[in-house]
Amino acid sequence: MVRAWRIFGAALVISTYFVASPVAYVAFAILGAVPTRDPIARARRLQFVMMCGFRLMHAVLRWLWILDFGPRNVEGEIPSSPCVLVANHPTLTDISAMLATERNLVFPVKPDLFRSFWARPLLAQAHHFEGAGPDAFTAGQVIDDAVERIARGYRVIIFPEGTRSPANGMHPFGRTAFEVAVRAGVPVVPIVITCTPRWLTKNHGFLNPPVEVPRLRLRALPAVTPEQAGSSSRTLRDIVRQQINSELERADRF
Amino acid sequence: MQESLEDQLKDLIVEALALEDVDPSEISTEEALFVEGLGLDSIDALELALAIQEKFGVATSPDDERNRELFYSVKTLADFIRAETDVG
Repeated sequence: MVRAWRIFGAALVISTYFVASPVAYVAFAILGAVPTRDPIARARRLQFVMMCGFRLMHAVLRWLWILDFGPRNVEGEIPSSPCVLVANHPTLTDISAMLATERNLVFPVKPDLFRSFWARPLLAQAHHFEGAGPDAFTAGQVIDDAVERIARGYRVIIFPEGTRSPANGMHPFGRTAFEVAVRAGVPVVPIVITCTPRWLTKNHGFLNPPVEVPRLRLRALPAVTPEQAGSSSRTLRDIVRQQINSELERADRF
Repeated sequence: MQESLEDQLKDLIVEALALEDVDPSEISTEEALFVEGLGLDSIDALELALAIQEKFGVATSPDDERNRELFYSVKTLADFIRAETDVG
């Protein structure tokens, strides 16, 4: 019965999202079209609207006992200064949770979505940028874009696994996020995301919710600077991955 | 005896990518360089492309559709460089 409610509730929220999103899109587009001499101010306005939208979505999910996440579920300190946030990626709701928590945050968007005619203008005006494609050489543009965003004062979030985590543990980390941090001279902030019990993971899909309300948690670990890794993106990646992995193992034990 | 282009590329790979634990002679000429085989990643691809451009004066654009094919192995890289230059 509880599972049936959770499936129904999630379907309700998703269908509402598809009905409401055109309205939100129009509002978003209007805000994006408001003339301004300061594209950064417009981008931050759009990011704020996006943050409010995701906060509302997660609030509704919480009220309906579908998924428990809110600002109180964030532990540790995420710096407000430019940095690269790096997180594991257990569930489908990770990016919405991050965007609901923090403003002044940009991220690489999957190329198919970023290039779509309806999404590109707004994502680009919000200063998000196109993510890497299948060709290894596209990472160069991603790095350049991310470094440029950091120079403008943004924080950049990247999921270095490139896809959702497997059932137990994490995929190997790509090096792009850490190369960005080294080139921009900013710290990496490891973010540990847990969902207990697991749902909306690769092995626990939409139609297989747990009986207990899943609780999504974000935990920020102490920042790691490029200098601590000898300015090597490879070493920085290994340090951060180990820190996140240790935290995940600790969380699994309790 | 002049070092072959393939051997020069293997030396360049180790040097440019700072692969301290890899001996150039251990790199297979025909095995994949990226993901499988040597296990290089996208950052390595960028650094290797730059190193090849500096040493041999040969470059491709980031959105060249042939990149994955050209950079597949030491052999394909050597063939590409030979086609673009008079080397080897």
